[in-house]
Amino acid sequence: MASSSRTIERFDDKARETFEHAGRTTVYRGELLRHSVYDRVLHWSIALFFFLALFSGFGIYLPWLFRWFTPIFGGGQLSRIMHPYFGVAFVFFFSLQVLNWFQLMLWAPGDTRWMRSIKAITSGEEKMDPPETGFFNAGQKVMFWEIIAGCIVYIITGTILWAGAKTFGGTAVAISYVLHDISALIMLGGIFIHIYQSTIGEPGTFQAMIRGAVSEAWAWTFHPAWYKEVTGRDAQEACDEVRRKLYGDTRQAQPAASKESAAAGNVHAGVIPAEIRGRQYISLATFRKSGAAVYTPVWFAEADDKIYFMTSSKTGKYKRIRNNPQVKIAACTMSGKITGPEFAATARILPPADFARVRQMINRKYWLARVPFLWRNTDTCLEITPG
Amino acid sequence: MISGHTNPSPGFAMQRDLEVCKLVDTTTCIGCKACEVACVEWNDMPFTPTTFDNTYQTMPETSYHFWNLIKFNEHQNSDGTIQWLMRKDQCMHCADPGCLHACPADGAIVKYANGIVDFNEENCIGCEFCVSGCPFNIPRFNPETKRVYKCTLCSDRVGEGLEPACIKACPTGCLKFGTKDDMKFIAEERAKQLRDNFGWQNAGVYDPQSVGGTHVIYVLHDATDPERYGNLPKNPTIPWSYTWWKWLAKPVLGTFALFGLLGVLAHHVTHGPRVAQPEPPAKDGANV
Repeated sequence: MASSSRTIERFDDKARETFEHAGRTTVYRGELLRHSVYDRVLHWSIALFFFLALFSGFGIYLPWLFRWFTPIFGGGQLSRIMHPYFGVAFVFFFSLQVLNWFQLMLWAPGDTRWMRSIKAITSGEEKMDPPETGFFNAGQKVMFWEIIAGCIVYIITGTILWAGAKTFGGTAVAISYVLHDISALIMLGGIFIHIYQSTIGEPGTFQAMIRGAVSEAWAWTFHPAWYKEVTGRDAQEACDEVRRKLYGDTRQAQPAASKESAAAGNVHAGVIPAEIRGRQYISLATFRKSGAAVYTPVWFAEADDKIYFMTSSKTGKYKRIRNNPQVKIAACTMSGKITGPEFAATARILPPADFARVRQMINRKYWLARVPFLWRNTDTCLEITPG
Repeated sequence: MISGHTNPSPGFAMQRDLEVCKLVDTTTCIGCKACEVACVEWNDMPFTPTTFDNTYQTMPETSYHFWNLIKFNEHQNSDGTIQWLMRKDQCMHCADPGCLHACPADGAIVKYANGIVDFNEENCIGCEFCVSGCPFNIPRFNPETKRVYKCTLCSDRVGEGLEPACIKACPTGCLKFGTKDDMKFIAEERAKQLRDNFGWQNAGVYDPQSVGGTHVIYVLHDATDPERYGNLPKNPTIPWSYTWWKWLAKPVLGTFALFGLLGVLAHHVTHGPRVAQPEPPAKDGANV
């Protein structure tokens, strides 16, 4: 095993060296080398034969596509004759890429964590990939291993379909026919995501496969662990340093700073502003992920310079606070019209144990709150700390 | 019905409401092979050296230039007696043809309004899916031309008002040709005769409904066991790969894949790109 992996290593090194002579990769200042000439040549060879196989396969995939796609390859007969050769070439070049990238594509514990936060990453909520994201992220690795699985399916079912029923029997052909389709459909879905992510989805990625180099900012944003490995610097620190240089201290740079900046206003942190004390309603502004504020008038109770209110865990404000505890409060009318200055505050979702206590405070203040059955959905209480 | 075609089949909406049918009465076949010769002769096929397998059979299987083969089978009955069975093996011209379901090529397989299923070799792409789609194992691939061939029910003769060549050559009248209704009637009469007068209690007509009936039907001594006539399937079925998978799942899943394309574009519109950090702070400082 060890000797065979050394052989592969030697083979890959030789190939990279050979291709480096044949081609060229210029890495400008502020950039990092991402893909060698060998990486790139393999990638585009794979891509070429993937699409040739895909389009020649489309013609045979559905009779309705026959007239659209077979003319590209000079008719049905030529499509059918060439499709398997395109497939073989695709598998061949991908196999070389497997040897080339095998070590980099091995699954790491950080990849599982990456997959868990995939929603936050793809939605853009996570501005940078998780710090343990290496040369390839978990999504790329999933695609890589899916293609390996797909290639195995292609080789087996493709051989059966190529040789035909006279060699393998009608049943084997009929089953292979379906599996070949499924594998193709999965890859078709995957290629959309792959092309999107590497072009307009994450700008700056495409040049990695064209010129071979990426900007340092790209590297620390999308592959922080790889950035650290190459430069020895922490990705977050590097990013923050540039951010300070360019934009000064901002909230994004240090989330903790927001409290201070809010306190620097005309309010003392931790004290309920006089404009709010004793009022019937406050307007509570919560923030969407996009940053847009949503204002809701709420009842509230005061105790120990903290403001308490109740709501249902199904409401939008609850969900927004769960995502972002930064809120703003202001005195307002019953219908929500703001009548006083706004104050920054931090909300905290209280554990269920505190519910009875808050409920009691609200009940004391508002007689309507004491009406039974009206507040059945109210199941959560929150605490707002001004400042 | 034409493979890969949304157009109606040739002969559609014409005054030709008669479905043709070939009747093969296995009980009166004498195994003379005149039909084999007539088929080779009419279709101008070369005769090649064959394999002798200790039977009267001309060759083990039909081939791309031998579409009509009398299959000889010795069947031992439960009482120890032997039946020597001869069955004319050729394309069955199914009403619901598996080959046509499987064919991806435009116009390579045509089912005419009169029921004949014909291969148009000039359109065949040689994928051989029809071979696995056929429940009777009929289509034969010619590796030289890379096309698939089979019995045409002499569609060229039928089109001119003639009977197929094999029918014309049959000396015993065990082969008949006419409309499906007529042949079905004659076949049922013959089966009744066999049951009533010859002691073949299980005699019957082979016209399998699992493929919508066929345009070649058999009278069998024992219709309950067609397998004994050289692998004539009792319940011929088309693999589901070429039925609901091909004609329902594939277009639906293919469309879903296209939605994937729309999906990534929609993502771009709603969420925008993820850009290399640091990006400029949002205008109101609330871009979290």
